[in-house]
Amino acid sequence: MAIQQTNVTINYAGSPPRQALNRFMNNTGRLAGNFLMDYWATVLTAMLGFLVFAALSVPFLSYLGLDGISKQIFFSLHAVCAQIPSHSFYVFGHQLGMCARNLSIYSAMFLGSLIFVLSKKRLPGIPWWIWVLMILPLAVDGTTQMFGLRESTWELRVLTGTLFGLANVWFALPLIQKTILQSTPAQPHKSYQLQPSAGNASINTGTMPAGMISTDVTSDPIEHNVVTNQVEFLILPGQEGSPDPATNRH
Amino acid sequence: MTKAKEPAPAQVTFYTKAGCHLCEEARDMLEDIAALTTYELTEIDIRSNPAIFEQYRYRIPVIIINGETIIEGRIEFQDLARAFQLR
Repeated sequence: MAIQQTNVTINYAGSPPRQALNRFMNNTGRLAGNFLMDYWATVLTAMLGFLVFAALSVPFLSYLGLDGISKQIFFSLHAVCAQIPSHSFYVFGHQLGMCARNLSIYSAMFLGSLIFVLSKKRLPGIPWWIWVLMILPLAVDGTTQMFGLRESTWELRVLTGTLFGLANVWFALPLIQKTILQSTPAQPHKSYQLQPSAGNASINTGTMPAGMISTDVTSDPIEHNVVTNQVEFLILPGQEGSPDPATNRH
Repeated sequence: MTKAKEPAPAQVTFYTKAGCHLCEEARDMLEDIAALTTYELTEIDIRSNPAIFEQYRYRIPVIIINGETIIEGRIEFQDLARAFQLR
């Protein structure tokens, strides 16, 4: 598999201010895209953590007499939870921002995604049938209660909600990361980047590990056209070592 | 000539507690209902009686209309209006 680095020259049409705006939008979009590609799991974890923190903060704020803030947070959280009083936990006699089931779901999702981030996104995922098995208890508990066949307990809500939340992140996040890795070309390490010189390529620094292939791609100075000049180095086991500076060859 | 007798206003009991956000929302709805029909409201703070507190602590706000209809928890305005036979 070749490692590619592309330099694309884009011609911005229109007046200079328009060109500047286009360039700004293009750069901002690329920066935002690159940031999300690198830190999507961290952003997701932060959002889940914020949600759980907000739900937990409601009774404490009420207890401290900050009802104005507490009330706003409580009613904002209605977007993600029905907040049924009899299904909720209470702290200092004040209802939490989310019911027991939703609090368990989001807490488990937060902890699961935090573990995923701390594992440097290397946590292996679970197969789909384990995911189904883990979300099934919540489905049964929730639907039987919804249709009035039985009334659940807080223990069951917490247990099934935790299983559901963990299953979702454990299944989805590694899958997302796998898809991202498969769909984006790997970037060559700086020390292995090649620089073209008079039609040839030379290796900057460092020693390439056995089996590594590196490719250099340069762009044509003519706008709109990208020309790929690929020079590949395949270093086989037993041939490791610094390149010969005279020949630029191993 | 005798005037037609108006129906007696509904007797409403509202169980609440200070610092309960859902209770504040329910009270606002009761005020909206008051603009549409008349009723007699009895507001009870559940902390005034240990027995009532135990009964309603995880259910408030609770609205009882004429000793029969009970609406509690997260109350929707249309449910409350229906209970007052406004819709």
